[in-house]
Amino acid sequence: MSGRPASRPVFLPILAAFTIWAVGFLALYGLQATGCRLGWQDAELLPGVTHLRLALCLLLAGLAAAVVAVVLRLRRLPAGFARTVGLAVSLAAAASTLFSFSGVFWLSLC
Amino acid sequence: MAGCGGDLSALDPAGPFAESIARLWWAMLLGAIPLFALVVGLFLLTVLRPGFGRRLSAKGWIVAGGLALPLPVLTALLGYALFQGEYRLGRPGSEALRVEARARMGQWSFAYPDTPGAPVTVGVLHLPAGRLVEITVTSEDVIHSFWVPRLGGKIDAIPGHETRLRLLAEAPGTFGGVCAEYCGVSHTDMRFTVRAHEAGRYAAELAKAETGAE
Amino acid sequence: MSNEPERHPNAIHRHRALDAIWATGPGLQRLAAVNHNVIGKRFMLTALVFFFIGGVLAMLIRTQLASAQSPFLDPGVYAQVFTMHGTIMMFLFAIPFFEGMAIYLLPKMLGARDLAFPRMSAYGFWCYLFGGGIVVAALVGGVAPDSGWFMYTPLSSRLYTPGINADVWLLGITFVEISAMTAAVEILVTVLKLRAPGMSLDRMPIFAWYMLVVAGMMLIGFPPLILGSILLEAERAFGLPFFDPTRGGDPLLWQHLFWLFGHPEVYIIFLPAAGVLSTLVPVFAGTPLAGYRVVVAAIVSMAFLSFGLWVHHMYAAGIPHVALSFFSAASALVAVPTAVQIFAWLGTLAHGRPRFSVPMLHVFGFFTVFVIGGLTGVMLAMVPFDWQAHDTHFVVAHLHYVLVGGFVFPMMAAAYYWLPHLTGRQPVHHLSKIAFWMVFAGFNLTFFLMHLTGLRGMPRRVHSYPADAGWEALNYLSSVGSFVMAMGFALVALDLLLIARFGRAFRRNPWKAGTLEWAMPTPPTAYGFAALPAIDRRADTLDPDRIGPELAAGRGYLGGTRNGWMETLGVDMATGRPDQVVVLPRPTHLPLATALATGGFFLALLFKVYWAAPLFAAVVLALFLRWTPQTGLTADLGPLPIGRGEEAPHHAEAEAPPSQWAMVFTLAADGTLYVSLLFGAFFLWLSAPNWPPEQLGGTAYPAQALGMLGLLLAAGMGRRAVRKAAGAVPALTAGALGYAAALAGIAWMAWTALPDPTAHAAAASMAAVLAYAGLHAGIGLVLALYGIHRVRRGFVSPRRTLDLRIGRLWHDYTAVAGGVALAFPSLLATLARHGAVP
Repeated sequence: MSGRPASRPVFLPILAAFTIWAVGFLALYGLQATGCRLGWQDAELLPGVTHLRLALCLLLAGLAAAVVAVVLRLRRLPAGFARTVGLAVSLAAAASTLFSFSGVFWLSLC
Repeated sequence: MAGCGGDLSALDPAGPFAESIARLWWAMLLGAIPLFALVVGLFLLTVLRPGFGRRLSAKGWIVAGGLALPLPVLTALLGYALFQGEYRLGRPGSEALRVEARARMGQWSFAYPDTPGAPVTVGVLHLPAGRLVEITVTSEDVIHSFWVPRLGGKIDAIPGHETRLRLLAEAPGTFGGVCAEYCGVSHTDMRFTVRAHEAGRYAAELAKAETGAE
Repeated sequence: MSNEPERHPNAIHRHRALDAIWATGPGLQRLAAVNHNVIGKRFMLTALVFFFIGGVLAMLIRTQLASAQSPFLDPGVYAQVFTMHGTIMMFLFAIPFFEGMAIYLLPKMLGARDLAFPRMSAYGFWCYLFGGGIVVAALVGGVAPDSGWFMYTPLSSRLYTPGINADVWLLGITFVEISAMTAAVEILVTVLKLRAPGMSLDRMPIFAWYMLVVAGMMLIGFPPLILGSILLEAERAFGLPFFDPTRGGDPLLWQHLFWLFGHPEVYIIFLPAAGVLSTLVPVFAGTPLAGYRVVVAAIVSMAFLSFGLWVHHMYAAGIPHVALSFFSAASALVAVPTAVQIFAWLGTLAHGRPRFSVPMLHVFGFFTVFVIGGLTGVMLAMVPFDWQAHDTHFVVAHLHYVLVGGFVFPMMAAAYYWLPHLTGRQPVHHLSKIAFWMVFAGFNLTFFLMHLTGLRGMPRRVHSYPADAGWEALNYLSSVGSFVMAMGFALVALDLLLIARFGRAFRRNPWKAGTLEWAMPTPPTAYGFAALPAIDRRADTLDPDRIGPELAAGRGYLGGTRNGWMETLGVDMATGRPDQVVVLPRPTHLPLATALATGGFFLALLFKVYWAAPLFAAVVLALFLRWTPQTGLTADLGPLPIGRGEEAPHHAEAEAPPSQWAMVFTLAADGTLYVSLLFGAFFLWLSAPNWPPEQLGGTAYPAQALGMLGLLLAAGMGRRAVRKAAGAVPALTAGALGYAAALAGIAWMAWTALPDPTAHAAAASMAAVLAYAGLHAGIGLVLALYGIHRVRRGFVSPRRTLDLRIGRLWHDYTAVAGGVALAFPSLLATLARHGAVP
């Protein structure tokens, strides 16, 4: 009754990947701040690799995998507006995920 | 460079941190000029000389100018800037001399926990030249921002928080400092002076420094 | 009532019949206007008045700074002047101006007769006018806001701003923001639902895509600011210490909430202007926009990225470097979709035969000025450079290059381009060129030099500076430039007036454009299109010269009139297939009355007459309920003929009418506000000093259980009511009882488990979350009772369950949000207990 099914095929492909980026952004920022608050940057797992850095890297890997999954799923859509625009936006989101978050590998955490 | 001097000029650096940022600025300016000329030049050519650029497909224009041009430039710039940011921030608890800056409306005061017997100075910050100094900044009332342009970037003074800033003055001298964040009607006059002394005479100079406001 | 439309023998007859239905009456009837032509023009004209006021303030600033140690303004007045300049230009000029432009243009470009909610646009306009009026009245009275347009706490807190100044900002601007929220919902629903048949999403004119994205951004971007304003006003008025570091609050929370709005805001202002450019450039190039789909992808990417760079206003706040890197990277990255659009325009020009005309002169102004602003923007995105340039005149220069280049020049291009549409007169350019060059030269003289002034150390918002700082010559030249620019703007205004008064009349489509707004008489009639067109290609490659006369002759959809209804078509949002006849409400004074009552509410808060505020709120609610009898049907109509042999149901019988979508989007904005509130509390736990609080409280299991069960009952009964349709009264009654139980549970919880909310920000956050839940349960109760009323009045049948479906959306949302709210105090208390600072 809500009329939503008709719209789903257009907007979901366009919005999905960048929504993952946006949620991931908040999650990484929140995880970093929480980790600093609770002292996870002081415990080293390996020399130079703290618990916090490992957690951030794992989260980033998860995000990247999710965005790539969206891209792969979109490639199976029939040709058309939603696929073209969706793929362009999703590739932008994939690039943005790498570009915006790769600081977690090497920058000072707290 | 002419026209760039002045007691508060970020383009007239007197220490390595301000120096590295000034270098970043000149590099970005040199990069920006051709980019600006390119875009405006292309606009004028396409409008004034119809047919110009028709050999490149419309998609080619977008890919070349919208992706191929900015992405490498931005990647290189961002990497360089982040690297430089790490350099300025350094690691906490290094061999730096500690100084505490407290802000309140219209006034900066400075304490020197690493220099026994030093008075709290108001409106004047005394530093040893050639030595790394770590300033811990906080505020008693509203938000202020501590800024000595010739030595390095600014850091906010936030009530309830302590922020850190590392500075280094290469040679003895006097430098201007200001409050950069709007903090009420006394904002304009919330200035201070930084005096960098020769390292050997620092303790003696500081001991005889006056406490009162200037 | 008849299902069959009345046919009209000729165009004149048809015009008279439609005009009688759609036109705004004379005299006092003007105050009842809801038509988008009228409301759009009112928005734009009011915005221009505010632009003038903001411009005069700018000239005061430049006069003050023209010389060192100037005695012209004293520091207190100067603070009001720069605060109001920023506030007016952002909130009272830029946003309302493009809202007005969208309100005026969108229905015409989309092939609709009006927006989806004409009364809402009228209400939004009055809120804007009255809210802006309050702020400007404070300026005249010498008690204008004076803590900067960004209102940083604690400077704007009661301790340091004891007067009314900050309250004027918080309440006046929130009042104005109602118009932004109504415009956002209005634009989203209109673009998605009210288009000409056949206009699928990929055939929309590109301007509609821009406005769709902008409206979506407004929906998510404004709630954090509105929340921040409510919390700060609650701190100032009632002592709830959200931002007070001595009681567990944090001034940085305000900065996050403000800039979470404030940076997307820049793109919210830029994108409509970019939409204008994407519309104009192809017209003057004589070829369709290159890379339509790539441009759509670019603006969607830009919208998302623009939400990931707010902290670049806070690089100097001591935030860890890795966190800064996220924002720095996003700030740099946003340059890419910008570059994609710029090169799409260049590519379009390269493949067309550009004509140079006055609008193109302003497009040149855009290219030159905006590109500089973009380049300095990338510089400022770099953390180390920003540590030096932040809060200096370098940033003043940058932001004016972005906003004047990215908004004012495109808007002047738009003014020259669409003025013939508004007035029916074609430009005779005598002054246009000299006016442009004066603005252009004056602007660059003023602001280009400011880059250097800033790098040489001049901080922002100082009212004087020492003569030996070496800034005087630069400042003096900037001031000279600003006066040249002001004269240029005066000339532009004069030029536009002269064109409107003395321009040549023209037949149709003076620029040879390919969009629908030119396929109507100019100046436009109230109903716009005598019949609605069928669209079979991208709607910026149409031929208005052919379509216009056909529509005037009634050849198209809805070419007749029916029951005196104000009809337009609703379509499936993806395919553009018509799926309903949307019958719009007639002109009414209710929007004005409701806005006046809303103003009463804000004034009661402003003058601290707190007992009156709930009374005004009740009046507002009662008036809103008075809006509804006009809409809806009391009998099933079945399919209505819409012309060209097709049929569609009345919107009250349709599956997805505009009002249902409006509720979905309203809840999305509401949810954003709520999530911001929850994150705010989480942030305080993370960052604020003086945690944990002495008294945690937070648990009262029976109260929490009662509240949750009540909310679940209400939601379940809301769903049952939709299934029962005309027999929904028992379910709705049970739902109302559920809400009563929920309200009791929330009150019980607040009474027993809530520590003193003025003692610590933790308790204040709990109080705010519970108040949010209580407000939603209260509104849910009203909606359940309203549902009973509508069923009894015969508005509901199995075909007509719209009222109940809208209610169901609210009940579902309230159950989720309220459940979280009831659990929240326990969660926060647990967090505070276990996460004590190491």
